[in-house]
Amino acid sequence: MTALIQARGLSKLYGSKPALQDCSFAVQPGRIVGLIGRNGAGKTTLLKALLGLTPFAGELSVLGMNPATQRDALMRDVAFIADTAVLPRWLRARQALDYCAAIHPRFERAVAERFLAGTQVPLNAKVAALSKGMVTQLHLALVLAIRAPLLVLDEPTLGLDLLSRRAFYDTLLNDYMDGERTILVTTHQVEEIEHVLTDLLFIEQGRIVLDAPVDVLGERFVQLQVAAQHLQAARALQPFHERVVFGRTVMLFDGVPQGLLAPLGDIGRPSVADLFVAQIQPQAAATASAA
Amino acid sequence: MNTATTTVSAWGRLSMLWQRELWEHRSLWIAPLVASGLLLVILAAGALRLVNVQLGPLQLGSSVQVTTPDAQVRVDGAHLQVTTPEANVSVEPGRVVVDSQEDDAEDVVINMPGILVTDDVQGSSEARAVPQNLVLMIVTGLLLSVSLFPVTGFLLESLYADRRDRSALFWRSLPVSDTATVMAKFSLVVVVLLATWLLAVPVSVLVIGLIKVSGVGAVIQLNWTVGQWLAGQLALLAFVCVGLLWYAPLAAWLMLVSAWSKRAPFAWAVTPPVVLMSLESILLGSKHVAGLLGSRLVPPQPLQALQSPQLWLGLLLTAAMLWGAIALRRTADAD
Repeated sequence: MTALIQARGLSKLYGSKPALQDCSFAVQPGRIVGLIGRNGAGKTTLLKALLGLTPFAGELSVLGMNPATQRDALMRDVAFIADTAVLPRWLRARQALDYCAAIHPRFERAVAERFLAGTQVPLNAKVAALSKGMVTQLHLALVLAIRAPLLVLDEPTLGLDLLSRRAFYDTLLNDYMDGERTILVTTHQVEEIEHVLTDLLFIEQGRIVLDAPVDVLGERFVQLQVAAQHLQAARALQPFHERVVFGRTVMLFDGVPQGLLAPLGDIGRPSVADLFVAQIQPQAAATASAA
Repeated sequence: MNTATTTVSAWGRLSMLWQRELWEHRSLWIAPLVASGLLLVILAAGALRLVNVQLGPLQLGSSVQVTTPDAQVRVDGAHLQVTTPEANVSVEPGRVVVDSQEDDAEDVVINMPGILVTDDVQGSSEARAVPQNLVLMIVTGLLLSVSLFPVTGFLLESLYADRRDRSALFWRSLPVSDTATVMAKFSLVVVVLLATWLLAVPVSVLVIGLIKVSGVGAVIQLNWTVGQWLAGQLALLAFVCVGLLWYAPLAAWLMLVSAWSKRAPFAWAVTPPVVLMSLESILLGSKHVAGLLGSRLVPPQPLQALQSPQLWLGLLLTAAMLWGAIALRRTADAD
């Protein structure tokens, strides 16, 4: 199966500061990929490169197209929300629907109207008169109604309350995903979408530090609450992260068989948030000591 | 996968791109409509005697009356009567009668065979077509001048406003190429100005009608044949079309500045030419830049302009600046 997105050696400099460094990864069709990283880690730059919004070095293919040279064609097959994208204040909800319906060959007005019917957004209201959450809902309605093979969401639920965030991801899974569409999503609320994702891409300081399907995480990563007497034995197995919770040492292991770890304490499956923190912290500590 | 797509016609797309601009920049269509309305209301008020539309010392017409504290002037068909506290002067075909208000004075009757009070002045039809064409020109020129304000504002905002309010990424997330965006905005100006010309057609007919009703029509002859009227309108259309070509480089310059500036596009649009003119005048003591800009601002004579190389050079410059605006738009969100 050919990859929907294929990146090889993707790099980008802002002045002398590297925003992306030699990123290589592939996204297969039908996956829901979480791109997870801290602010300034390069998430948005990576998405902009994928969408042909910023020049880059390296090889990049999205839906078989080169975003740098084929952006116009690419935009017909990609729907995206950028975290910095704001709907203009003068636009009315109805006008937004009219515009997308006339401009986008893949826009299904009925889908957007159904989504909006479940919100408080009045069709006649201008964006200026909507709350921040309602503007996000309008934007989501527009993007969900675009039946594109690739959906790119950069912090899509920013500013929404818990109920609206749930409603959005439910809609995304029930109405949007049909097993062949692909979603690339970034968010700070990792815990909330953990069960939604099929793949993880961790990015830190412009580098991909983890690229793994969620269903292999349980086999590959183990969290161990170490019994006090086995501390040295556990450390000998080279945990990549260690912290103390309520007086007990918790270690994370990558690729160490569970059979070796089980006698040393309680084993479990780490959450994506725990993994993320563990993957990022060594680098963060290194950065802090370097600075 | 459900890849069904609805067909989107090129015309449907273009008209929606124009529609989108008219949603955002409502003054583009409101300004000429309001100006037309105001013009007609003022003239209608004049026709209804709410305002005296005075052309010259007297008003002539089929039935007009002007009253001042000192005198009353009345025109009724072929009969002109001026009433003052001292005397009553009556001008009738063939004679003038002065009737003193003082009892002991005698009436004076002057017989003048040539005298005539009428709104049917003799003259060639060509000569009579001139004033009506003048009204067409004034009305069209007025509405076009009114439209130029929102059009200039629109051009300066066109590629700047959505970067300022950070909605550019939303627009660019939809399948509209940067070329299509820039060209739709640029061509909208042509549409707006042609629509303004079209609006001036019925408005000028109404204006002429109101002038006739208000009585001024007798003074500025407003009788035309359909042919003359059509010829006048077509001459104006030719002027508008050549004007669009002539002023295209200025519009393209405004769009280029709009695509480029991070803030205050108006200042960026005005500053470079002013700086160039000043530098030239200080360093070289010449005024070529000022002359070039000045000659560009003067409205063109259609036939002369079409034959002048400046017009065609200007169009080349327009294409280059629009290309620049598209290139700048493409990298608008690179950072």
